[in-house]
Amino acid sequence: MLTICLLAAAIVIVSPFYNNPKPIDEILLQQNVCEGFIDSAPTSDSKGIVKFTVKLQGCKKDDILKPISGRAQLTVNALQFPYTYGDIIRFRTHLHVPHDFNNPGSFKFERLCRSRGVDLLGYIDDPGWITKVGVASGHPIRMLIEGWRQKIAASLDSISNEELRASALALTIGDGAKISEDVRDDFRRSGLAHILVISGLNVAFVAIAAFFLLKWMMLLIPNLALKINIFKPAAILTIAAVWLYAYITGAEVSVVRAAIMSTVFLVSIAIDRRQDTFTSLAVAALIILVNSPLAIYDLSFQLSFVAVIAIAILYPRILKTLGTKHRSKCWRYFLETLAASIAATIGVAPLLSYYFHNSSFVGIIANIIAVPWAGFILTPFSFLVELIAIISPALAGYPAIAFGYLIKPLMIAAHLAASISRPLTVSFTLPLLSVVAIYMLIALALARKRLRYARLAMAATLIIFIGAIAHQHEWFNSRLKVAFLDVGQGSCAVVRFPDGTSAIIDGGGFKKSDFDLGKSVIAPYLWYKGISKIDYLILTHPHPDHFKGLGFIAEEFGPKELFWNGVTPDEEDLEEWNQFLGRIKAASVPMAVMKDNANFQVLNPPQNIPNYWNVNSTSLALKTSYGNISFLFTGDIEAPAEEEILRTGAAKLGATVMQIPHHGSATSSTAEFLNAVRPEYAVIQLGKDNGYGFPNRNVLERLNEVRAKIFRTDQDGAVEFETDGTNIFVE
Amino acid sequence: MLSGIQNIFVHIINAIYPPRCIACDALLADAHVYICPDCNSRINWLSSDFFDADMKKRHFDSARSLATYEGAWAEVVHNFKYNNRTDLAKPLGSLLAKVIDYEYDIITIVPLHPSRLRERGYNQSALLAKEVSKRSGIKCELGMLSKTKLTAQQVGLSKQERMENVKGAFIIKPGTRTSSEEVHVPDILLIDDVMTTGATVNECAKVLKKSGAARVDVLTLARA
Repeated sequence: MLTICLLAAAIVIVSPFYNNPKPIDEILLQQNVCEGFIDSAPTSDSKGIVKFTVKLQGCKKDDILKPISGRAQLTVNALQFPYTYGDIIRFRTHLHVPHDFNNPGSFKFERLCRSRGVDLLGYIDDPGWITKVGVASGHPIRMLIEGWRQKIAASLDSISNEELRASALALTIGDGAKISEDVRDDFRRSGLAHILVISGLNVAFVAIAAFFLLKWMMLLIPNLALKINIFKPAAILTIAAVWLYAYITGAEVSVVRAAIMSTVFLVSIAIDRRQDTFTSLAVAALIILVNSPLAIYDLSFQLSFVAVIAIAILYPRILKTLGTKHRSKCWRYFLETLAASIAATIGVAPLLSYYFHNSSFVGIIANIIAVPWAGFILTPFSFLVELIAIISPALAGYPAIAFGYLIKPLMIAAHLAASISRPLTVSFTLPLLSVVAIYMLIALALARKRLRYARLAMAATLIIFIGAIAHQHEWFNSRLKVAFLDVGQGSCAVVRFPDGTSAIIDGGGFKKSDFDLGKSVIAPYLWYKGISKIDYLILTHPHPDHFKGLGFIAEEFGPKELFWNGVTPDEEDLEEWNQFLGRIKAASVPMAVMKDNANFQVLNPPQNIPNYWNVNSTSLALKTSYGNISFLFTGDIEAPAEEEILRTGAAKLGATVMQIPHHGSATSSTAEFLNAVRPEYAVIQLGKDNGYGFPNRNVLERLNEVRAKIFRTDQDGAVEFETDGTNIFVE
Repeated sequence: MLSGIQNIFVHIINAIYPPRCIACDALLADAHVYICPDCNSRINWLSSDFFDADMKKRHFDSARSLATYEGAWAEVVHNFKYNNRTDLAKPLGSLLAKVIDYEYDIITIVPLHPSRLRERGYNQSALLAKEVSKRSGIKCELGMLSKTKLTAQQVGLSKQERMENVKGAFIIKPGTRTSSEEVHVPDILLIDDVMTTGATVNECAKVLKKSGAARVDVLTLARA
């Protein structure tokens, strides 16, 4: 009986925060009116971008609402957003399925969406396209909790400093959307990013604080401790506190993990049993995965479990090595924190290197100072603010202000640590195989005394570890390598010459969007390949879908120069162009008009270009050769430019691989031009459903006529060529 | 049906919290013993009564301890006393209950000063006494004795100092019913965690006897 009750209770407790992903049977993927209820609390960032998920109920078809299922994440550009969890809204948007930038080493956005139960994405530029049509009954517990979360958020309004308020929101209800990119960068660089996210660590500190507080309160009741074992009621009440905290903070995977583990531990006190970390970890994994099997791909899940395993295994050993006997209490406490920090760092470092590419040694020291502050002071205090706010938001105003002041030292520490982190940061991306190998290696090293061929196995694993890095980072490979990346609608090619020189031609980018393509797409590819330095950048012409992504590369990969065509951009692009110039200037990368150099031949020297041409046609057309193999990069040149090149330099035009001009537009790739180039391979760089109708059907036909093998980045992802001068290999 | 469900529940609990050796946390093959064979071999179980020729005036009638305070047993008792291992009350209480071979009227304990109780959050002897009472059916009166002064910890004191330290430290709580109001003169079992020279329990037995107890036997986990 009790079992069933407990199982049911477990399901009820966890159910409101998970929904199982269902396949979308039939979705109307064009601009359409749909209806559904908001099933996650909307979060808005400092620029007024609101995000939330909607459980879809129907979409319009032939003037009737056709029932559909699925969950969509909507992004709305709205400074004021009046809708909340549980509201049924009708909205007009263009829903689309999430898809990845298909490059080696790119972030698996699609899988992240699926693991979070998001099937579709939609953007609404004007909140006027949303109307409220009703209120869903919703999950009663969830409704209650969302109400509390709103109260807590409201009470934090008394913090006047915007940055502090944003961090306070993140540290109380787990809503970090409002934290500015600068603060985020400070925390990332100093290895403290995890502190701004509510994780298992916070749950542990809340549990400890709640338990001791309850114990202390019960000890105040005379003789109670003599009559009963007060640890038991304290443990049971702590379980309630832990779950309350987990829900208020938004129940992220790592929080649920820690809440389950704390529960297992606290129950052990209540029923006089012994618990061990690995069993409770298994219980936590079981419950989380039964609810959402895809959670295993969730970074938060992986980091959380690896960190706990590492602490469980390594912490006692490190502590023993450090030696804690005969030390003062204070010194011992310091060593314990140090040991836990080192253990967790060792545990998560390979994963962090794999996902985030940068590892900072500042992190270990910064954490020793910041974790106890965040844990012993901030976390229990945040819980206190939460409890007061639930009772009375007005009353919580002063504690909230105090909380803001408590966060301040953390921000200052993060800023200081970040400012000295540069020289202590290594950009190194481990291949997946090496990540597995290093964990194997650690496991083997720990178990070496119990295994027979431990040394042999360790040597083999080490070889795999190094071999995988050497392969992926191409240590022993001096060929000409050209990669056309999938940057959506836009162009970007990474060129590496046999002599070790590297260049990037164009950097993609989305017009009127804050998405930093250089940071999110190009850089991960470079890190993945073990490239941390680019010698120079080339910009074929100043259009946003070619220049925007280069900003981040200029900042982080230390190019010596930026070559471009020297043409004034269009009026409508000026604002974004000036922002870009600002970044280039701040990174102190000099700009110059492109001329022939050791690697590239310019087929249409910019000084010869007539000034009445449109910007596209002024694009640089570049050729590079290695032995018998050559590559032609064309930017966005259109027919008149092609004609001009044919007239002046037809003899030099022939190329093995040709980048098809202007993303396969009908205005380029004339038959004459293609006939002069005679490419074996044609690469078209364009985005899925690009809205321009690229690639043009006639262009594809003309390419077939010259018998070029066509690669499209929208379908094939990144196209990578490698040549030794006589043979060419495609990936 | 009900027992079947209960069985499932027990299995789930055992899966999450498998029975472990109380001394070394190793998994136990047999859930009915508390100590793994390995640790058991490192415990010096006692069956003899406490005797100390130096003790001038013995007020208790007998004093038994389960084992000597050394090796694995010392660890168990230390964890129970100082490391919040209240889960040990059950196995230790059951071990104590097994050696009781007399029908006492009352079980009571050597009291802990309230400030020490506040510090630890639990009174290990009280937890033990309750377990023993539950298993043996003997009534348990925890508040019978109380400590009037905060004595220094006995640990580290000599035999003579220990006796001086506890002298007059205990009183019968006013209002506690002993022989004076009952026709029957009670036999009392006094439970404590560790006895070394016997000074503490002797002082307690003296007070108990003075207020009318017919017999006071002492039962402790360990003898140092």
